[in-house]
Amino acid sequence: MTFSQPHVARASDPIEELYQAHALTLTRFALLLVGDKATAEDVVQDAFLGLSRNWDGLREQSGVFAYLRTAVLNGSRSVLRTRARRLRHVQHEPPAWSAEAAVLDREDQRELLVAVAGLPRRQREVLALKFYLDLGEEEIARTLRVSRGTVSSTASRALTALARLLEEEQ
Amino acid sequence: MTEPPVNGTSDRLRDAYHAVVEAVQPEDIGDLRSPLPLPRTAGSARWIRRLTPLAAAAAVVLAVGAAAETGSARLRCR
Repeated sequence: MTFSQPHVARASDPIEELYQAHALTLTRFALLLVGDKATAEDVVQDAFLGLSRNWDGLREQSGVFAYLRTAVLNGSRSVLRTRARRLRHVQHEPPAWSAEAAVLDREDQRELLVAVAGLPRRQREVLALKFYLDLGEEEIARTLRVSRGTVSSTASRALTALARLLEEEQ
Repeated sequence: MTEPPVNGTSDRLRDAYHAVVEAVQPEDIGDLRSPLPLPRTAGSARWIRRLTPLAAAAAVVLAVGAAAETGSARLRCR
């Protein structure tokens, strides 16, 4: 739960500057992970709250975006865990992702994203980091704290599974 | 069984990602929220947590000192 109020912007506030620079990309990244806009915005706000609490501990400012990326990833995982727990008690709840995917004009893109939503969590994360944020395997490995080989094999398995699903649908 | 082509899939996925994230536009991004100051009790609790081991150590020193003083007083009485 986040206790927060509107941030009072100051010209020299580095966190405010980082927010202005990265909030859009991070919210879009979170959207790919959690599937709905409102939750994605909350996840990003929480990531920046975490950043402001840990600001003094972050010695290298070059690592700040990596910190935020990881915080968004962890926040999204937490949201998905809570959702999964809730779904055990609720019989019929439409998947969050289908609502956002419905805005797509192209049917094939909608189908592709619904297929992605059916992949295991790690595969979805690797795909979003690789094909939305355009990160290399080394950086994805650091973000997910796994080996580079795991990233490579996870991406390969995910793409093969998607290609197979799409082939079956045609 | 032949593996389905994944190159086309990765291109399609990249396109689909970039299309769906358009749902979030710059004007959708609200102001950065800042944390509310913590209630006073939380700060006090933190100080209590920090001072407790010091207080315990001071109590031990006092107890040992008192015991030593009592022991030497007895010796003097003899």
